[in-house]
Amino acid sequence: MIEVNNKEKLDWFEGMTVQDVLDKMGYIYPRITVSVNDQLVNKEDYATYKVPDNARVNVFHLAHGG
Amino acid sequence: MSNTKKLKEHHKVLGESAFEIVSLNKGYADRILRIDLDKNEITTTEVTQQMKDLWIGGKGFDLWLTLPEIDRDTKWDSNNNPICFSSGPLGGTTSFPGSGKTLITTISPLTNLIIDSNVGGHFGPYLKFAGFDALTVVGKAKEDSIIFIDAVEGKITIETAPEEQVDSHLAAEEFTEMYAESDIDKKNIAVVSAGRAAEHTRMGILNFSFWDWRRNAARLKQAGRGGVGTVFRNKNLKAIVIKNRNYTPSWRVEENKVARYVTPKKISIQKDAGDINEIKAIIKKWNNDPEYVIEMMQDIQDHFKHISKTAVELLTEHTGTPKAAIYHIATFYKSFSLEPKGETLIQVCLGTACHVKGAQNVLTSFERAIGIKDGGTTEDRKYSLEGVRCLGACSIAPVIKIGDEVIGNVQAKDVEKILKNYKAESIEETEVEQDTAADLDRVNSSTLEQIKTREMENTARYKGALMVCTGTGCVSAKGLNIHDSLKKELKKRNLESDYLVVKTGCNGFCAVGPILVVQPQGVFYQKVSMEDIASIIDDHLLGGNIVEKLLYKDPQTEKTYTSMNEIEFFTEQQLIALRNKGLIDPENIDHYIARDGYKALAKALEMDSDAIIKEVTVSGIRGRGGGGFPAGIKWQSCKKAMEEREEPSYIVCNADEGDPGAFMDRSIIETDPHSVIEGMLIAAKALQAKEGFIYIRKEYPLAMERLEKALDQARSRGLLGDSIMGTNFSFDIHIHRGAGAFVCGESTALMASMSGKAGEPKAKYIHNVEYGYRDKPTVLNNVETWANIPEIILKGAGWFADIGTGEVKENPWNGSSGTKVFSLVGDVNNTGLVEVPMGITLHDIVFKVGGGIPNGRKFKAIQTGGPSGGCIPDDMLDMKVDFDSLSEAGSMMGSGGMIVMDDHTCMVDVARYFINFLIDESCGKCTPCREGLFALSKILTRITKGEGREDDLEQLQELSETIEASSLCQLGGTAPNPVLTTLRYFEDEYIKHIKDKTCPAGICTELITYSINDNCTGCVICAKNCPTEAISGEPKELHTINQQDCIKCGICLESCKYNAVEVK
Amino acid sequence: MATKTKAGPTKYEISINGKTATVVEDTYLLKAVMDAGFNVPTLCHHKDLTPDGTCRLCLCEVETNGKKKLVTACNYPVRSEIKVKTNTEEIKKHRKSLAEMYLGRWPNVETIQNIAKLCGATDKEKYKSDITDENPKACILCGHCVRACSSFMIQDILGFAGRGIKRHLTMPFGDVDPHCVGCTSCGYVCPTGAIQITDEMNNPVDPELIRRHGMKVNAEMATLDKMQNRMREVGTANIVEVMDAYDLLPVHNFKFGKHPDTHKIDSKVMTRDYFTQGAADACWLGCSMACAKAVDGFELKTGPYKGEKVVVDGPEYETAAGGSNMGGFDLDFIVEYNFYCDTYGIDTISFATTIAFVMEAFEAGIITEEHTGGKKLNFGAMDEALECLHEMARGEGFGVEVGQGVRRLKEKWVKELGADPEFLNDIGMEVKGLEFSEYVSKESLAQQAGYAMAIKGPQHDEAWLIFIDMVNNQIPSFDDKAEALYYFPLFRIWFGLLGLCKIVWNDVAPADNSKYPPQEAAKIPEHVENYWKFFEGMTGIPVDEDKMLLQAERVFNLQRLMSYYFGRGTREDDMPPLRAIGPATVEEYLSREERYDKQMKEEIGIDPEGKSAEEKLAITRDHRFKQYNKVIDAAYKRRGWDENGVPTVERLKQIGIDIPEVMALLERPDQ
Repeated sequence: MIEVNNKEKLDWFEGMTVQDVLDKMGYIYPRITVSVNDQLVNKEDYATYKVPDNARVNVFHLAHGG
Repeated sequence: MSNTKKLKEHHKVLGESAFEIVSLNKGYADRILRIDLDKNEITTTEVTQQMKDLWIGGKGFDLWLTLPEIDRDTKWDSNNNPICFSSGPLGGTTSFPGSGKTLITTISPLTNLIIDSNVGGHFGPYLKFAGFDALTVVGKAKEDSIIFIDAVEGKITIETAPEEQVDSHLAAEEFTEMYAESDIDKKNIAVVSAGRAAEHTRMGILNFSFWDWRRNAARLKQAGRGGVGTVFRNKNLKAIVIKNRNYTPSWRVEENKVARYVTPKKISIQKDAGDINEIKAIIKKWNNDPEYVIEMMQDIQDHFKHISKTAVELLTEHTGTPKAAIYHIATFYKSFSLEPKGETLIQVCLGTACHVKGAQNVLTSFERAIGIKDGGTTEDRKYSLEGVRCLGACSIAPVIKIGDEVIGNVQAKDVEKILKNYKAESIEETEVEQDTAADLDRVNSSTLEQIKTREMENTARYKGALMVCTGTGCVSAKGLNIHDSLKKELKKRNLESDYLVVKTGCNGFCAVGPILVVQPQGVFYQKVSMEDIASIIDDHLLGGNIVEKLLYKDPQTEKTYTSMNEIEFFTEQQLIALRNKGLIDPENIDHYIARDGYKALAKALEMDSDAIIKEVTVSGIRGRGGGGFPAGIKWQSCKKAMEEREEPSYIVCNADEGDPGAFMDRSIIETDPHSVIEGMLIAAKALQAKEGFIYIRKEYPLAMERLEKALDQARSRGLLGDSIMGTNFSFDIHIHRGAGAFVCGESTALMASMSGKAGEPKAKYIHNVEYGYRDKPTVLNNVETWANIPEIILKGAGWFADIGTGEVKENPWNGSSGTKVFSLVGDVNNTGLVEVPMGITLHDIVFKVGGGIPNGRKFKAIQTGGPSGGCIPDDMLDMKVDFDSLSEAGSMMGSGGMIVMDDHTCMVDVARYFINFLIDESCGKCTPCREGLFALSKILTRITKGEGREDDLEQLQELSETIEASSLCQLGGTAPNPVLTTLRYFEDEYIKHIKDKTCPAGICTELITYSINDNCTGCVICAKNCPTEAISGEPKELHTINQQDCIKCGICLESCKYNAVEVK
Repeated sequence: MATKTKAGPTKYEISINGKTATVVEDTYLLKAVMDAGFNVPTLCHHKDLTPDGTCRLCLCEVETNGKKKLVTACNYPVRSEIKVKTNTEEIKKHRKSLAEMYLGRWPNVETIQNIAKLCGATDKEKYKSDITDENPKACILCGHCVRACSSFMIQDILGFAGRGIKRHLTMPFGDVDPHCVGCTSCGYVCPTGAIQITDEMNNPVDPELIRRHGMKVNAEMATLDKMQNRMREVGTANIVEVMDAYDLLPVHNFKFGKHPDTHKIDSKVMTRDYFTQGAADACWLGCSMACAKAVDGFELKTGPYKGEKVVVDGPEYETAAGGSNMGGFDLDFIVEYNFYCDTYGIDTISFATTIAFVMEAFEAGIITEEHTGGKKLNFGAMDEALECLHEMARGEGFGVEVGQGVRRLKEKWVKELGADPEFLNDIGMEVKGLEFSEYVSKESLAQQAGYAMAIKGPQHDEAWLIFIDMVNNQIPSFDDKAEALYYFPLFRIWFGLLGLCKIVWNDVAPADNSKYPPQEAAKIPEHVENYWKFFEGMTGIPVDEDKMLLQAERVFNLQRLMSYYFGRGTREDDMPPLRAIGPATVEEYLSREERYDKQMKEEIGIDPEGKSAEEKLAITRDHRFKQYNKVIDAAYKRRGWDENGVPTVERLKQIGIDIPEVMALLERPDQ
């Protein structure tokens, strides 16, 4: 089980990547930053960065709107 | 009077006020404008420091200005409900993005509270630039009115506006038009308006306009929320219009020393409305398509003899191409001129073949004869003169083009005569033949055979056929006249149903044109003149006697040949790309079909994509354009890219044959255009392409004409367009005309040019097969490659692979299969176009096919691969000609130009010639090519002047290596080849120039003197011809040359029949 | 539509001078080399501009499968496992030679001299010629300016002319193009000072300071926008599909937050079939964001201009989302209503929200064809919606009633048709009489307050907190939310005092914005600082966060007090309809039943088991209004307003606007 943005719980599976988390959450907004257990993850690593079980994942969306 | 001016006449001025124009200070005008529509009163007040401190500006000012206007009972539709507009202290900045908002407040009809809205468009900044930090509008007009703020005159008026449109998209344009002084001034007008529905609802908006000069339309940005537009209309306002003072930034760039060579001295502006309309019509003819902007410019140049500033502006306006891009194009391509050119353009070819045959002297003679320099135009705008880089008629070098007429074998002394004759006779009109394209039926694979049979039956009805060569070489020697009068004469004798007269494309043996081949016997007549026609008909056709004097005589063996097939020029050749030369009328598609044309396409239509690509790969065919990249591998990569990215692909034919001394592509198109079209069709089938393009030099009008005809005929036959041959395959081909830039032969530059841009190459780290034309996967091959493809498909990959060198079936890189077409020119007897199997030796080409060196001179070098190729010396003549051997020798295959040079050639001069050619043709984008070639030229020039320095050879080497290693594209990358190969093989010649200050070949004018020896008979011809009257002497006595007047033009040498002129 | 599985970017292990580096595919080699700590000389490279590869100084040796070649690192994309050498003897030799060429032509330009020194070139005479230019400020043809004009501004006002050795920089015919907007980018990127240009209309105190910070944003637009919000490609409509994915896109009068047909109106379709690309679509000169997209040559299908081809500005996000709100999942419809709203002078937001309300009322049977003039105004009735619009223009028919807005329709239908006022108030998406703009605020308490408390009415431009609150969960407590409801409205208002656009602040962010802690990152600190410097550069007055907030707070309170002056602007004016804060109908509750049930259990502490949907809806409603009241309590407090939402005298004193004109607004006869 992992926790996203201190709120949503997701089932963890072996090999789960940051991209998997984003896909599960439906986070398609382009201006986000992601941290896993407070460690920032680069955009190009989303597909390869493994999320450990019990991780705290924070996906931070920048504001928008005129 | 324009419509809007009429509307304006119905305005009635209700209130008026002048104001002083103030400049802004730290973002503030420090002044507020208030307009009362009840009283038609216009007043200004000062901005207080407190206002700035507490409320800053924008919405802060709006609210503060609202306070004194309202009371508790003020409703949205009360007269005292103000609409306030303000920009803010940072508004109107252009060096920080997003600084153009206007803030508006009023009491909202929806909420009856203050509503604020922010909006883009140009009104807010313009209001501030006019000197007002905010505008308050109160009261109500009694009838539809506008407020006009004129920052140019410093005047504000309230005017009735009874007739203008209310709907904003029209109102904005009407008011913009009404108050702009000119088109360009429209950008200074901003209009605030609301539409019709704002009157009837509570959710009305205000539209703030800005003039979009690229779209030529007023754009609208909306102050949307809360019903500001409703209040606006409730005040009976139709618009607030502001006119900004024209503001052009004070932009300045340090002057570049070379700019003056490009910037026009006089800028031409078209004032004539008719001219403007004509330019617009030209642009429209090309559908305002920015990709065809170069085509439009060529039409404009042809028609107006230059590209005027007006034309540049119209092109920008109507195609959306940036003006800077148009200007770049206009100054980049040779075809364009910013200043008017003369009525008749005289082009002197300075291509390699022409250069080695004395073209420079021809050019100098023209300069003297019409009194202008290269690139100049006579005062009366009758003539313009320019030296051009290869007209592609190298076999009849030196060549000039005057008007539309190409003249070959020109000597300096002929110049006066040419000018006189040109003035006297206009070009003879050739008979216009009915184009039958429209009546052609669509074909499928079975009707191909029917057409073939019909054509053969057709031919069999005749007793014989007279095949008249009408390639560019022969046309320049009046080949078309021969054709026409043959027809006329036959008709006169009622023989037109017995003998067929066919205009064929280039026969190849250009040295001896005009050529006439009488079939079926294949009797080869050369140098046929109009006077010979009667005897050909009477003696040969009717009498059965061959006309001996027109037969070919081998210059080496003096042997005479009757049949074409016996002549060594032809016997060594093997024809694939040129399979139909001399045998068909290139303007008749059925002739092509009769020779199994389009049969390969029919076959390919039944093959799947991979099978076609495999066939091409296994054949081993490598690109004939110069690089020698295996075509099959290229196609395969393209397929991969298009499948991976799910993108369409494009097929492109490179017919931008720019190499001086090469004219293979021109000849193939003139001879057999359908072979190219069929090749492209086969690739299109393999790569599911829908569109193809042929990029062809503008200097090849005949090829262009034949190509266009061929495309039309193929379309009517259902071989191009939708459902080709009745299948679901669709493909069409469009033509792009090159505008005179050698670098456009480079693939990325070619594609830039096809997209309507200056032909600048870009890095090829990502290939065209992935991101080519329009950034889509693209296969680009040259004319000759395409012409080979149908034969490969028809006869099989194995057949092709077995011709040439190496074992290519497994790996195309292992050798060079097939044949190669060369243009054999320069100091060689049999100049012309030849197709020989790969692997033939240079010696065989020069001495067997080429028939050796004329005038008993000695072979010195052969230059292959165009300007970026190299010069190969005598002792390497046994070298096999294929891609890899040539590269090893420091030269390259290039597109197939071969210039033979005899011992009257100075190799330093040749190197300098090529470098100068490339300086002119370099796009200038990358440093080594631009600066490095210039430096090379400086060194070479000083060597030829006898000012060479000790370390010059070292510097040449060093520069060459850096240019080669570091240039952006292959033009630069191979540019130093002529220097490097001449240094490698002819170093001693350089050293003689530097150390002894002599030119062994007697070419470098600064190092030689002309003198007359005892052989002189006093015939006076040299003295007559000398342009500077430097030769003196009584008739029948020894002449002398006054060295001070001698300009070393060589005319005396050329004209002396007694070997009396010496060069030392 | 099946979504492609997103494969991550391919990476390569490359060796640079023997040092191993991992590089993402298509990274330019120069970046990899620099990242690995090596230095390579460059002249034409500029970090914010697309590489051009013209100076050739960054030559590096690349070895692939044993084959070595020289490439220019600046524009060589890494696409395989290569071995790179940056400084071989051969490379040094060529660099020196290139530097000598430069030195020969422009001996006195400092940039050239520095490069020459770096490359070991000293001989100024070697390639001296008749075109040698002694000017120390000479243009060295690096092309920075041309690329900046093109990629910062999409303008292409200046360019090269001539070819080969005659190549030079100019505006056409050597004149200053009257269309030059004076953005000064060209001068900014010029390494030699060959270009002089200033933006002087405003007579700022320090134009350089403004330019320095403005150009940072221009550079971000040129390099980052295509990876971020794609404002240049689609304008503000970039987030239609994003809002759908996050359940925030208003559908059927804000009932739902997503719809299976959204793909028909998303930005992919807009870019592919509608918007003209690559145009300098800026609504004010010098704006590099260029988000004012337009549809060119759009053929109208209805109304008085039917059959005409027109230029349509937009659609912007609100207009597109208004389409989904009305159930119009068809871009032709959206562009058409966009056009007519504009030219007739109608607010697309109020129009769409009102029509959506009418449609729901029509489907609920509150009104019938009898009232609508025969129009079947179900959700998705696009022709009928357009007809209402044309009626507004003609000033006749049902359209005119629609044009009075949601609040007046509610009043009319209650009064004339005896409709249920509670239901209409629950689903009528207006506050203070203004219609909601197009975001679903149901799941974000802070956004609900941001909307409903907005002084002018429910509009996102005062606060847009959905992501921060609902998605990022960064402001969990009421105090956190109150702080956000203090800072963001003020910050956003500040733009409105200066004549600035907010989009440039937050729709593109510096690449390293994530270095800030999330709360700070949301403000985009570097951009905020840009604006402070901009203000300082213009007025000479330095600002910081406190000062900026103070400037805004004065105006904010002034506007609030003006509402108060009209007898409004108090707590009851800040109350949203139920639909804005939670499910308003059973249908709506059931559409997200699982989520609401879970919330009931976890947040309210009531077991939903065995309760009817109506009961659950009532419980949720009650809970959500309580929560909402708590939030505005906290926000009022943070703002220094009393519990009724009226600014206190104390606060007005604190912020220095206790001047008579302002104090007079506080005197209300009814108090």
